[in-house]
Amino acid sequence: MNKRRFIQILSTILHNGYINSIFTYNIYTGFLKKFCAPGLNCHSCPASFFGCPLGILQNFLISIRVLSLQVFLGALFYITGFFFLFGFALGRFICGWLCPFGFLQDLIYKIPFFKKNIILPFQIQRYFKYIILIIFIFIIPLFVITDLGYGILGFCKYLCPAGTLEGGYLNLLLHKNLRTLVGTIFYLKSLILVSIFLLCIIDLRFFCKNLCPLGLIYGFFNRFCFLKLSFNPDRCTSCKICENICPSNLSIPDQLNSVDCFRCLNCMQICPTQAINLNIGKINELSCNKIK
Amino acid sequence: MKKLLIFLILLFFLFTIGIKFHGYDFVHSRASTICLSCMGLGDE
Repeated sequence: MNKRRFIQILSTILHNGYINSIFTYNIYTGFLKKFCAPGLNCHSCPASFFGCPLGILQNFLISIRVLSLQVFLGALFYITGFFFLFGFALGRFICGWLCPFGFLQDLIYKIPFFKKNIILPFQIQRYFKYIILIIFIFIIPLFVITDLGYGILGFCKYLCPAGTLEGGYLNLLLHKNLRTLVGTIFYLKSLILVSIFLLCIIDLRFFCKNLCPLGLIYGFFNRFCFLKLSFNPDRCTSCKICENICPSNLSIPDQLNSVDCFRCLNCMQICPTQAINLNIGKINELSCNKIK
Repeated sequence: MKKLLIFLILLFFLFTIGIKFHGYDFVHSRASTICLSCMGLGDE
């Protein structure tokens, strides 16, 4: 087993290690739920130890109108703190190495089937995640208001495949009384989940690359975070083997630290001359930006 | 080094205010509830 796979398994266990829920039928409500985990992992999952950063962010946005000033400030700074902590420290390294849903996609891709990099004209698939972030994470929770004065959890309610799988199906297995609540939205979310799984069988990490708003938020930090990729032009032989193996079809070295790189580090590992390196916490003097 | 210092100061600032105003209680209360929306259940 390689190092990345080992860390992914460990991270998945840390995200979802509450096996007691099998016996109690309840989700974990202890001390650790005061913190957010870095990966996309539904906090309604019976095994989840931590809050989902995206779910908590939406919960904050839907309640903005009804929160007292103290709770508003506390939640605003605390949640922002987690995004800055994870973003600046790791960036999309989280997607490639720590996210349980990313790990699941890696496993799904191993299913033997037709494989292809799904690229739409003008690479418009890359912009889907921006649309999802703006509309489902910000606009719907902030501006679509219910009678109670709360907004709607746009992404969680209508799209999130991790929520459908971990929160939805696992809780339906444990709680028979919840099954009466299954309706159109659940079927719609299940259809989205199955579609994403099918696309992930064909195209490695289709969801991470094109749809995940949490990955996009972390991606904004890719250029500034402590964990960055650097490129040494003196060592590069222009064999393009790195570009051929990149699951995100990035142009290397120009897009080495772009929003779309989810840090699988395949390019670094396959480079025969070690022209690509991982820099931890030091200023990147050979970064592609300076070469240009 | 300067980058690390800015990062630590920023985190200290954010988490100090967040913890002072009990931001963790907000996270705990929301993350400890079975969310029907997340599961795709409940109102249509």
